Amino acid sequence: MVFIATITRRIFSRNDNRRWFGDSDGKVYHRSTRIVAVSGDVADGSIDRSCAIGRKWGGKLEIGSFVWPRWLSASILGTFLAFFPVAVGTLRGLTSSPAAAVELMSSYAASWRQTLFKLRFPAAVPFLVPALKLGASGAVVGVVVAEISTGLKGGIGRLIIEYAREATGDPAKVFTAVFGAAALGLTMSGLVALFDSYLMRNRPKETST
Amino acid sequence: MSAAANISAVEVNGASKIFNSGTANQVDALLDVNLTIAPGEFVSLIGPSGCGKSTLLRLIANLLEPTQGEISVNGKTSAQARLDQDYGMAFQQAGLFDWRTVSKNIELPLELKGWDKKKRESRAAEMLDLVKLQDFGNMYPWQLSGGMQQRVAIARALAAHPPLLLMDEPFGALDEMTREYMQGELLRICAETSTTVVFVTHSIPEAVYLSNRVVVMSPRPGRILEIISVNLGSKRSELTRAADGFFKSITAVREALRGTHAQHVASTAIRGAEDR
Repeated sequence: MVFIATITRRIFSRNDNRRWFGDSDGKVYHRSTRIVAVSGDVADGSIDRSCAIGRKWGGKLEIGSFVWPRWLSASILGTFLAFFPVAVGTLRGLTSSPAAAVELMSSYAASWRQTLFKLRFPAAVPFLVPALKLGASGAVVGVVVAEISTGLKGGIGRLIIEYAREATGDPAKVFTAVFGAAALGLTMSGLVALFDSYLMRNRPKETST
Repeated sequence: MSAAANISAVEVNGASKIFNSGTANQVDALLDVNLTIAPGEFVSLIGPSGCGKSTLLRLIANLLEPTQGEISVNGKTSAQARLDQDYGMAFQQAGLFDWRTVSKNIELPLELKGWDKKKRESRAAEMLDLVKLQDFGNMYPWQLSGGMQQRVAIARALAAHPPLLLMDEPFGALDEMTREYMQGELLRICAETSTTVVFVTHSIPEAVYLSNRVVVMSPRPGRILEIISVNLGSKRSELTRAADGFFKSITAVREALRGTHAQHVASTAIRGAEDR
């Protein structure tokens, strides 16, 4: 009974346990500062600015002296989408060295580092390149999507929103931005393909992708 | 380069190897193996699949630790011998690195030893001469035929001039003609470099043609059943393959193997009866 009561209280009092608060001015406060802020309100009718750690919702954050630039949200989302294909591909590549080759290296009493640089990294290249291709196009998608949702100026995502608003007047216009995004994605994976043909120039052609 | 001649190249004393010891799938790979190999000797290990001949080779190479017993190579422990690169190794798959040229593949063990570039290159050229691939140094392994790749692998194994060469069915994936040619080449190379060889094979004629002694092994648990000396002289050629002594030795090895085979069948038959 006590347990259920505790749970119930937890659920109903959840609002008061919020860590972050925003006020009508768009200022963001941490839970620990609320009492001060409230008491400041009561004392002189203004909010104690020194305790505010964020300025606005929507991509504007201050952490100490570091001001979060608007483009950083977009590049973090791009990085995030590129990270997993590349990480998984690299891991698979690094563990792909044939057992016989690993045995050969240990028969030469090669150190861990020597095995890594002389065997594992070169053997990982055929796995890394397709991963980089996925990562490059994924990063473009991530950045465009982030630009759409944050409305970052000067980006393709922003253009898509702006041109979409004019879609009733000029339906073709929005496609210019969409094709621009597609072209950017293709360019990125094209660059990776060039890098690939450089790295794999001396390898048997069957294994290259 | 090696120490005094009275130190044996390989000495295996009462070596046993048990995999997954104490569990349900325990495998007694080797049981109480004793083997002494003199410097300059060519010894083949032969036996049916799963008789532990590759395991014995890996014990000598210190790629596996024996469960029991001692192994010394060149008068050192096998672990020290591995650290000193006292042996070279060649496997059934040539195992060359695709991203390195033939020369660079041969230089690999020398790089790991920290030799400087000039010394490495001259040694690689010397080894390419030895295996008669002078013109192929700048090509990539995948541009060569299987036999050529295997010759590069032998050159790589011998690049640091180790006194001992360990080979695990190196010609197993080659066609019969290439195989016979490679056997002749191997004998020539070993004679030129006076290398001791331990050679694992499935093929009776191959074992007899190459070896001074053939070690016949039995499966589960792997034991040495018989060691057969082959008296075909030190100079062997294609004529050796037609000699009487060649066929006599082949028959001797075959009978030794048959013995193991008959025993093996008998023991499983009895076990089968018990199960029922």
